[in-house]
Amino acid sequence: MTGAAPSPASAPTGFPWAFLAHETLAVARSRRVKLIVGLLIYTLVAAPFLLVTPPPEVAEAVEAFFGDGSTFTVFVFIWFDLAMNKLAVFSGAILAGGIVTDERTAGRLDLLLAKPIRRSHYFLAKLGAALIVMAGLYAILSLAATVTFLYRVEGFRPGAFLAMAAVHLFAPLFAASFAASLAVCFRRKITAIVVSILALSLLVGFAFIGFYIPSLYAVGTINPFFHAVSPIASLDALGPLEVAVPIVVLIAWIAALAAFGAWRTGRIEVDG
Amino acid sequence: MSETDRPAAPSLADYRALEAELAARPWHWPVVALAIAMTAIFALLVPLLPEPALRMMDRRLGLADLTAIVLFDIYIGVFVTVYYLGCFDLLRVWVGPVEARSLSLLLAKPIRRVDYLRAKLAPIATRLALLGTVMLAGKATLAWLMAGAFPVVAFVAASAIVLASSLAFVAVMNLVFLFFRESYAAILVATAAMMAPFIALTLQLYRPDVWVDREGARDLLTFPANLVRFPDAAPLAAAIVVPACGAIAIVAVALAARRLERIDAAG
Repeated sequence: MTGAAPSPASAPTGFPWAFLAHETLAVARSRRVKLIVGLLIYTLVAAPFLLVTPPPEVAEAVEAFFGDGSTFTVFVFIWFDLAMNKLAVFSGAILAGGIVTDERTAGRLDLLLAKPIRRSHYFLAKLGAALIVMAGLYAILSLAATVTFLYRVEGFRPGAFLAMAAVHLFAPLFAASFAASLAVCFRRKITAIVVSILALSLLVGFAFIGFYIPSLYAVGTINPFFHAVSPIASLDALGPLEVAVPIVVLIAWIAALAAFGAWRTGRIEVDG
Repeated sequence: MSETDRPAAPSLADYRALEAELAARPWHWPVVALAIAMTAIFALLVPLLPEPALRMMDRRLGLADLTAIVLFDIYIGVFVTVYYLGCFDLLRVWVGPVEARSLSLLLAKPIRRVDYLRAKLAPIATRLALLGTVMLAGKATLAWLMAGAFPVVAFVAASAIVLASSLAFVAVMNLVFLFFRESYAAILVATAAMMAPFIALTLQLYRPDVWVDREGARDLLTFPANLVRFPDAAPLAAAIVVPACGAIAIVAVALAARRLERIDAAG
């Protein structure tokens, strides 16, 4: 039989916090997280070597983009564009791109939906676990980066770097929410992850377009990744607004995607 | 029932034909169309960049004008797209069946593992070559119309290098994937490996001091900027690199076949 099965009548209405905690631990211990940690450590070690003495042409270009071509701004630009944005896409998509669709591909979806848990809660708990792990990894990386860059990067400003990282933290969280919400729209997980990575790569590719080409600034603000990197244009005068506004915009995106994913999970048809 | 009345047993040719059919993935042509469209968008956006950004591309990578910048983007775009398409296709060879717990069933059939590998890989390679060629042709047409003329022989030679090296890289990743049992892990490893071909280019952009007194190595390794900077050398380079990539791919597939013969599919 094929049809949108209702949640079991006995399904509890409260949020499954214990399941969220269990999932968070399961994701944190997974092999893919170990691989992501390996990638993050590699980035942490390699970046200062690569970015310690930017050539004058690179500094001039960065000055044209952001009005400041100091070594620190060049470093921040390259760190968040070359490294963190790409890691955001792949880490987010890998951590959350299989929610529900993994079970669906493996033919275990009916088993899952027979559990006494609301479908929307199941999705939100799985997504929540991926977001918690992603946020934890990003926070640890940013703190480790701050400590090591203090010694390895000339003119490094920990306050501005951490403020930028606090905003950019929401980039991988957006990527994870996007991948999870898209995944529940596809039957096959590989198709879902291909589409997620493709769409997120396009968004990341255009993250700085408003800075590169000022006439496209307004169009560029549609892109959530723009907001994740937007404090770079005011590193010298970062105030609460420059940090809070992009965070609020990104949280709104993440909440909207999570709501869509939860709603969509409730409407998935089970192949009997 | 007599011997002649029995339906013919499925042959290896039938299996190969089935795999060739399954190698067509739904996202292949949409991705190719999008990749071609990106060349048009790129050619429209580059002239809008501020002058220092264009100067940086000229001085650091030797990309002196719009045509050079667009050609560079074509080579890097096709290399990366073919590589990723290939890596996602490779998930059907080993990691995917392991995850779905269907590999032992597949390999329990009266088929040698090397034949299994060949039946899976041959259509993937053929399709990737086709997709890459269409992508190159579409992108080149748009580049010619929007960014200006370029030497055709050099472009064909450079395209052959791009396509052959990307396919060889995919063949190597097929071997690497045999050490993984989870598709997400395989995708992450493919992403990490993707950095390797562009290390020299990244150094040239941000740490050119590394190449002082090593200009020969720099010109040889800064793929694909070197293909744009030295169009006259592209045919000779293709004559060396394309067969070398073929050899690398053959060795990688042979090693993969050997590992597959020894591996415990059920484990």
